[in-house]
Amino acid sequence: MHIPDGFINLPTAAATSVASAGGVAYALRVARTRLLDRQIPLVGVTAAFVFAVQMINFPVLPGVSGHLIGGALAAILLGPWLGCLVLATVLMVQAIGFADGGITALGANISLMALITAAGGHYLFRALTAVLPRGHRSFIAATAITAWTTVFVASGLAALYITYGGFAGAQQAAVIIPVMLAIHAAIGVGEAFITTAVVMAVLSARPDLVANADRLQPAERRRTRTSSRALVAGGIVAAFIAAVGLSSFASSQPDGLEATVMRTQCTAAADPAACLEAAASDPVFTASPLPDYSVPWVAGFVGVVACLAVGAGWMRTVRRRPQPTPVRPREREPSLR
Amino acid sequence: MSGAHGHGAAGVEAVAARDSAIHRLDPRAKIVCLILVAVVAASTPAGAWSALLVQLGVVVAVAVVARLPLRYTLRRMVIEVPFLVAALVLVVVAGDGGVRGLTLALKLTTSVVAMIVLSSTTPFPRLLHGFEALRTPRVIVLIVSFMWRYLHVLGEEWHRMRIARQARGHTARWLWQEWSLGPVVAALFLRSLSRGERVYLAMASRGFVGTAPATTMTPLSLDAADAMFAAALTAAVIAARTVLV
Repeated sequence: MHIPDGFINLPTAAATSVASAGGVAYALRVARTRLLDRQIPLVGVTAAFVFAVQMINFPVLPGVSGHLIGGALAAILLGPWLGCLVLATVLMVQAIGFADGGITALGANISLMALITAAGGHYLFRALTAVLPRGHRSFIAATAITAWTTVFVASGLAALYITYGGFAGAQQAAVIIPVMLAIHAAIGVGEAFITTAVVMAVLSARPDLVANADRLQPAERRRTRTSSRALVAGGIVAAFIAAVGLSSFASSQPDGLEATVMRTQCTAAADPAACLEAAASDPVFTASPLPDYSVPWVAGFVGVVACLAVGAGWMRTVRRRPQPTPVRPREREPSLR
Repeated sequence: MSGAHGHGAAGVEAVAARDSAIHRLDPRAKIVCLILVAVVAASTPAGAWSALLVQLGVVVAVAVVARLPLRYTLRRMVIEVPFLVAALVLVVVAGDGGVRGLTLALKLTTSVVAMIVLSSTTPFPRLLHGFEALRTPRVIVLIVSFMWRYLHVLGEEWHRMRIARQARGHTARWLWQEWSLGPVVAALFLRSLSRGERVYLAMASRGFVGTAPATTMTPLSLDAADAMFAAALTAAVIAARTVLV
């Protein structure tokens, strides 16, 4: 999602630079008073980790690549403004040291991946944990949802920058925006997975370092179970988000196969248009309860529930013996000797 | 530790440790001038071919004077390939004879080469020293220097864990066999954090107070060479932007 030089026009670059400069300046002011000595290793390791994680790129469109961001991770571990600073710093190093992301586009990239993802992600996380019952599971679920949502929203905004505010132009928006959103909906699942894994690990070993640990029960702040159930729950939540949220962007045009079938059947007909219409309302397509995903988000919801039920039922029948109980992690930090 | 971009931080530092007229310049001069080139190039209007080519020529000339190896530079430019493809798509799609697409490609290349020159002619600690001298906020310098230090910690831990995984018979040929990546990544973070804390304590007990280390490096000082470089680069780029457009 790093936008290079030349991809956004001058007004967009100027506006986002001002916004980012303001955000980073505020974050600096907060950090100067709040950054404790003992947090510095966590800040440094998070920055290095985010940098490493962002190097894993997937080409999305010609000119746009998708990758894991790590903003939600930084925000949940470090808080909004320190997290925002870490992301902004990583972006600056990437732009200057590795030419990954343009200099004039630095403001835009910071607004996307530091302000929206880290600062915005933190407030989303606080809102979610305020609504959900206090506890370990809610923490994990909120982490996964925040990670996915920040990636999704940031990708949409990036698409807006390069279409309405950049070289692609508004006429390409109808193509670029859905593709960016769709691909980042998938990448967001990976982001949720990695973010949740790392947050769970840090919670189990060093909950004193996690800035948002006040959302856990007091007893849980000392020891937490790292059960795979939390991860499964996170995955299920992500699947629902993808199915319900993403499906609204699905095209209602017949997919390649359907369209080809209908067209070949109807080329020889006397009235091709009427034939196509009749074919589209063929009982083959309309006999099912939700023909052709007619109400997308309902179809998505029902589909995920059905898949889960079938999948769970299948797993229960095929497994040969009960799963062994997960081993509790050691409560002190791992020793390197 | 090499990323998906096909270059490693170690490779960059090896080239940055060489010697040339550009390597010897004050980092502050390089930072200001090369970033200026990237900004001015990005603001050049579409179709101003002479201006764009002069700007690209200027950074390429600096790269040549710095004696940067050609294959190394090309390898680092690989990062812009997907964006060059976008420019190509624009040439085809926009229907204006390729003006916007070609402009985009030139601006992109100029910016990328400028940043490659900056990072390849200045060792990282010295670059950080330059930024600090340019009054970059202290917290940012702190985060960057620790990020750099811990990248190596992270890399070494990852290397150890990878060998440990292989020694326990891990051969992943299918996607689902990579399920162990989740716990491995989590453990990697934790171990790096533990080691990082010990590194920080070692630094603190040796007198680290938050500034970039200045003791082992020659102090920064601007001299005639820096002034000439800055004047030549700035004049060329701004002249191209104003006169040749």
